[in-house]
Amino acid sequence: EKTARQTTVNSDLIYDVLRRHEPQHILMRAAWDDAADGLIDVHRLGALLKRIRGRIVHRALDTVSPLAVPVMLEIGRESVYGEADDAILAEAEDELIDEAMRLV
Amino acid sequence: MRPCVLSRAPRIELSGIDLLPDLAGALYVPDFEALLVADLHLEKASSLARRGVHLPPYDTRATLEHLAFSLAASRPRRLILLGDSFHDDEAHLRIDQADIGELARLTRGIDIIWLAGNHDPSPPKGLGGHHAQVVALGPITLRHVPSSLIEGECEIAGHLHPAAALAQRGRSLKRKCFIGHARRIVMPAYGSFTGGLSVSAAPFQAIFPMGDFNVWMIGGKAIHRFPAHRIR
Repeated sequence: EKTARQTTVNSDLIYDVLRRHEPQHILMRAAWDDAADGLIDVHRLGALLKRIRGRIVHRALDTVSPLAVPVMLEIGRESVYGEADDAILAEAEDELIDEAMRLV
Repeated sequence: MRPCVLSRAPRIELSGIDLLPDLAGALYVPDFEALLVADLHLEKASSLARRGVHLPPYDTRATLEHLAFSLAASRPRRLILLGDSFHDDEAHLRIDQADIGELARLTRGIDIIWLAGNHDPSPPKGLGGHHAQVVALGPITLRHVPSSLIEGECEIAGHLHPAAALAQRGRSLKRKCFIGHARRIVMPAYGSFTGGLSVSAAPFQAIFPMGDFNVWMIGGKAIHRFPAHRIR
């Protein structure tokens, strides 16, 4: 039982440690290259931005542009895993406090 | 309305003595100006490497960075390590000179007490400080493995690497934690490559037989206290 506990290590931990102490490690570069191809094609996006540099016109619109509709629909659908954990822990603690106060 | 005096900096109390937990897993005891840490397991990565499990060999460095944080926040007179400070008794042969230097620098002017653990029963070589099986802070006994308590004795121990899982919003969040009741506290494992054993597991049931305990879970920004019934 103790052996199993010692040899199981969180992969987030390995990532964090490598990023801090050996950011050029091949595993880190591989992870980034992998992620770059995942949700968006970072290389293609980078090439586009280089091509249009200096010729970007920013205009704030009054209404949602039809071209923006697909990305607006994505809001709330993609989640960043784990980012709300601290808020969730605090919420659980506050619920107990509220409950205790109700009983007083 | 929640009373505004409640903050996210909880304190644990044992035998009338305040214990202040920090986000790295240490306990500061202001009455004794002592910082307590348990289960650092230094050189765990290099130990596992010899058995073919290859992890980035920076666990000692990362743990010492946390120790720097805990020491800077508490500025104690003494540092007490509650055993399993090293992953094995040969760790002193593998530890980096830079890390030894850093440890010496962090603890300059601070008394160090190394308690014996099951992984590191012998006094650490070349690192100074005092070595002991057990140490007392007033009415509180500090030792590595939680043990039977005599009448009036309270205890802070390590060894079990506690972690608690909380269900909220359909999710289960597991975190390292302090666990305790009126007479004993078990500290989480401080080391950067250490994990946690669920507080629902048998070793904890043996020392908290009535299932009557609190946990102080270590979040990213704060420590959160929960009673046993809230933990799965």
